[in-house]
Amino acid sequence: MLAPYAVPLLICTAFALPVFKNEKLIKAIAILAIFLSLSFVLSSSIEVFNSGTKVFAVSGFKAPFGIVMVLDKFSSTVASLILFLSLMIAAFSSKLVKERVKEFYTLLLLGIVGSLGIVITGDIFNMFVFTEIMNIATYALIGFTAKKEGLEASFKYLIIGSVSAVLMLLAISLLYSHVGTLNMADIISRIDTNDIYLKTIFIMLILSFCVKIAVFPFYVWKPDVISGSLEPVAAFFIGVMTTTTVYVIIRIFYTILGIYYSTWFSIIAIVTMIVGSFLALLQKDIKRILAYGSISQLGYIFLAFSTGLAFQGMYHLVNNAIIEVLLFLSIGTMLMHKKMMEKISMYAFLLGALSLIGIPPLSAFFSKFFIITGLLEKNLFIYAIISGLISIVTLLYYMKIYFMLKQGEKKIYWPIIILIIAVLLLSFVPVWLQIFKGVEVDLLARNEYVSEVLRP
Amino acid sequence: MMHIFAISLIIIGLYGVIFKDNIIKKVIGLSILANGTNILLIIIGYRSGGIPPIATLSNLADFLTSAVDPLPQALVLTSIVIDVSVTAFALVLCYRIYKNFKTLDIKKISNLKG
Repeated sequence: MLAPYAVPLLICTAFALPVFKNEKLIKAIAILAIFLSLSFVLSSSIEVFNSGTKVFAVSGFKAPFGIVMVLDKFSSTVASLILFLSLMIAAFSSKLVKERVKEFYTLLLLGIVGSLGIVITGDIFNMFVFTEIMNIATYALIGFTAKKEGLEASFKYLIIGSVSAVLMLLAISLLYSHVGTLNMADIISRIDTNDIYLKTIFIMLILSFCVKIAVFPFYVWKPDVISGSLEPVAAFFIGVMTTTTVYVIIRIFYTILGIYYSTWFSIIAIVTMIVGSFLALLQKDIKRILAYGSISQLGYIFLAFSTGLAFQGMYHLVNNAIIEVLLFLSIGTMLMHKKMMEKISMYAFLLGALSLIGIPPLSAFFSKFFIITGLLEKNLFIYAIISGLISIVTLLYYMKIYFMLKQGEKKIYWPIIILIIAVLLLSFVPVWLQIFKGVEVDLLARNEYVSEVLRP
Repeated sequence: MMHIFAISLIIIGLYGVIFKDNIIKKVIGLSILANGTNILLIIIGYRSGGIPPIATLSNLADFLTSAVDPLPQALVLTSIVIDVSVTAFALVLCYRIYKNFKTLDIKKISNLKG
C-alpha cells in the first residue's frame, strides 16, 4: 500500500522547494509531487475497493500503541478527491501566481499534506497535529497577497482557527483522561456511547470542527475570508479543507459514536441551508455570493448525513467539492484578464452553476434528487420540501453572478477543462452509485473497522 | 485545585480573545488559552508519588504500581511546539497589519462586511 508514503513525499517536497531558484522548476516539482501522491492514493484506493480495509502502522508499532494510517473505502475516496482537486488548484495557480512562487507552493503543499493526513490517520491526536499543519498553512495562504483585505481575513481566520484548535485539544485531553487511549478503533471498542460525559466531550470535538467550516451559528467570518483571499486559495479553502472537515465530522458521528440519525444536527443543517442561500441573495460581490452559496450546499450534505442517507450525502459531497473548485477557478481567470473571462471559463461557470442548481442531466441534480427521495422515504416531508425550495433560491443567486460576468479574450486553461470533464463524468450515475454504496456499507460497519485496525 | 487553575487560565484567555480590541492583546489571550489547555493536559498525566516511567531490573515492582503516564507529556510537547509557531505567525501578521493599517484596533481594521 503506497498511500501513507504520500505524506512524507509531500512534506519533503514542501521544504525542499525554497532551495531552487528557477520558478518554472519549482512549479513543475510541486505539481509533480502532488501528481505522484495522487497516483499513490489512487492505487491504494483500488486495492481497498478490491480487497477491503488496509492498515499501515507507522514505524512498525501496531494499533493501540503506535500511530496507524487507515484506508477504508470512505477515507480512500475522500483522499483521492482532495488530491485530485489540489492538483487542479496547483496547476491553475502556476498561471495566476506571479510573485513569491516558492512561498506559495511550500504553503500549498503543507496545506495539502495536512488535509491528506487528517483523512488517512487513525489516531485522534495525530489528527490534531495534521489539523494544525493545515491551519497554519491556510492562515498564511489567505494573507498571501499581503494587501489589506487579505491580512484582515487572515487575522480573522487565525483567531477562529486557533480557538477551535484549542477546543479540539481540550476535548482530546478530556477524552484521553476518560478513555485512556487515542487510537480511534481502540476508543470505539472501549466506550459506552450512552455515557453523558463522553457525549459532552464529543459535542465539544464536533463543535470545534463546525466552527472551522462555518455551520450555522458560526458562519459570519467565512465570506470575509473567501472574499479577502486569492481565488485558488478560496478554491482550496472550500474544495479541499471543507471536504476534509466534513469527513472528520462524519467519521466521528458514524464510525466512533455510531449515530446515524441526529435530530438536532439535521435542524442545524436545515437552518445552515436556509440562512446561507438567503444571505447569498443579498450580496453584491461575486466571491461573497459564492461563499454563502457554499455554506448553503454544506447544509445539504449535513442534512443527508444526519438523517442517515450516507451514500446520497457522499455523492453530494464529491459533487459539491468538484463544482465549487470549478466555480472558483473559472472566476479566478477574471483576475488574470482584468475583470474579463474567456468563453471557456464562462461556460465552465455556467455548467457548474447549473449542476449545483440541479438541472436534470448534470451530476448535482442526481445527488439532490437522491437526497430528496431519501428524505421522502423516511417520511421527513418538511425537510424534503425545504431542500426543494432552496434549490430555486440557488438558481436565483447563481444567475445573478452569471449576469455580472463579462466576456474577454480567448485563452484556455487545462485544469478548467479537466474539471469540466470531471463534472460531466460524475453525471454517469450507476458507476458512482456502486462506489458510494460501497462507502456506505463501510461507514455503517463499525465492528469491522475495529477488528481490521486492532488485528494483531 | 490544579484543575481550577488550568480552567481559570482558559477562561482568562477566552476573555482576552473575545473582548479585547487590540490585536496584540488578542494574540496574548490566544497564547494564555493554549497554555491553559496544556496545563490541563499535564495535570491529567500527574500522579502524586509517581516515579519516572523508566523500567529497570531493580524497580520493576515500583514501575508497575506507580509510574506516571508518559503520553500526556509527549502530547504537551507537541502542542507547545504548535502553539509557538502559531503565536510567531500571529505576531508577524500583527506587524504586517500595523504596517498596512497604521493601527492595532480590530474595529478600525474590519472593513470586510456585507
